[in-house]
Amino acid sequence: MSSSGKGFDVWNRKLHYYLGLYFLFFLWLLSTTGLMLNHQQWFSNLYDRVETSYEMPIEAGPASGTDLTAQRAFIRQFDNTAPHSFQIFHTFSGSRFNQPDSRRDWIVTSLWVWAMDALTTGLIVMVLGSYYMWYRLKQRHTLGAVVLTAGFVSCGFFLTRFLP
Amino acid sequence: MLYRWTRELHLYIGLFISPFVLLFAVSVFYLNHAKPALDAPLPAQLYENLYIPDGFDQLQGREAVDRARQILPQVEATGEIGFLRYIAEDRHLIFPVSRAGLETTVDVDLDARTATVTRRTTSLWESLAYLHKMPGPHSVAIRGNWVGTQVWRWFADATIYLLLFISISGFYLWWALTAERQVGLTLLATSAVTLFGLIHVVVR
Repeated sequence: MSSSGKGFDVWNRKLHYYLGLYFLFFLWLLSTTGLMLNHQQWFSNLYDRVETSYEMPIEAGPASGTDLTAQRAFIRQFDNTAPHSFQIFHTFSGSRFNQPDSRRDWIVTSLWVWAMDALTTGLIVMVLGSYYMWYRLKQRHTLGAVVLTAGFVSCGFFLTRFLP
Repeated sequence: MLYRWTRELHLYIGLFISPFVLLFAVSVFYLNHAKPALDAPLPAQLYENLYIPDGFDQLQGREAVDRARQILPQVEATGEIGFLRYIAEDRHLIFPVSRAGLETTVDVDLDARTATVTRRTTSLWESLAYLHKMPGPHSVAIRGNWVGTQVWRWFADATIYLLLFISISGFYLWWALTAERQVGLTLLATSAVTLFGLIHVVVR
């Protein structure tokens, strides 16, 4: 094997565990919140919340385009339970894909979405890199191919219309 | 011995769950960024002379869904019933039926024993997003009323548990590489600062 090929092997392996380590906590967060979303029955009073209502004066912006003559804001605030707040990080995107008009209007939401994009990009790179590392392990080709095929078949099963 | 077995399991379990990880990862881009123009539904179809179970005016929850499922084969629909909406004024029962690739809306006239069925095929992206979100937190009492959702729930859970195993075993395999500890610890610390910093900004 050429030195450039060996160099690629080494860096592909390094990239695999560097990405894995960097995204480890993100992955655990998304895994645990994913479990929570799929098993709501594990929690009691998950959606309990404390409501606070108050009003306060505001300054009407010159270009707001809204009737703010009263210059008062009426605010209803909901404090979620800690597990609910934790769970929200799984779905915290600031817009709904089936509501094309919705937009992110807070920089923090955009930052969070950017972090999730980075995580998923990292996962995809790790998976593709792992395929290459497995391919380089010639003695494990057969069993690896069986396991990988089983994974693709079982996953693809749900994307097809074979289910009764 | 432990290292060798951990490495083998990390490899083979990782290969098995990799398609599921790709599905969950790729669909995130769609869920976060897509502004889809949904395909128009296919022309509605009318089904007549149906057998309609009784009790929809009184039943709720899983029991009502189980009865509604008896209508599905008669209107050539399969999938997960999302919810039931009973309209007392004209005695209609309306419910969506979903599966990857197809969304169906069934509007049953309980007295006339007819059903108007509207179908909409969904793109591959929508299908991936649908699977990503199933079974999800909504309508817990009736979720999993279709065998496909029940099996998918099992695979989705297994993916998470195995992903946790993969991450922990990967951590162990990295720790065994003494020369890489310094870089790895730096990455872990950076990761923790980034994540908890973001969480702090969101919840403060």
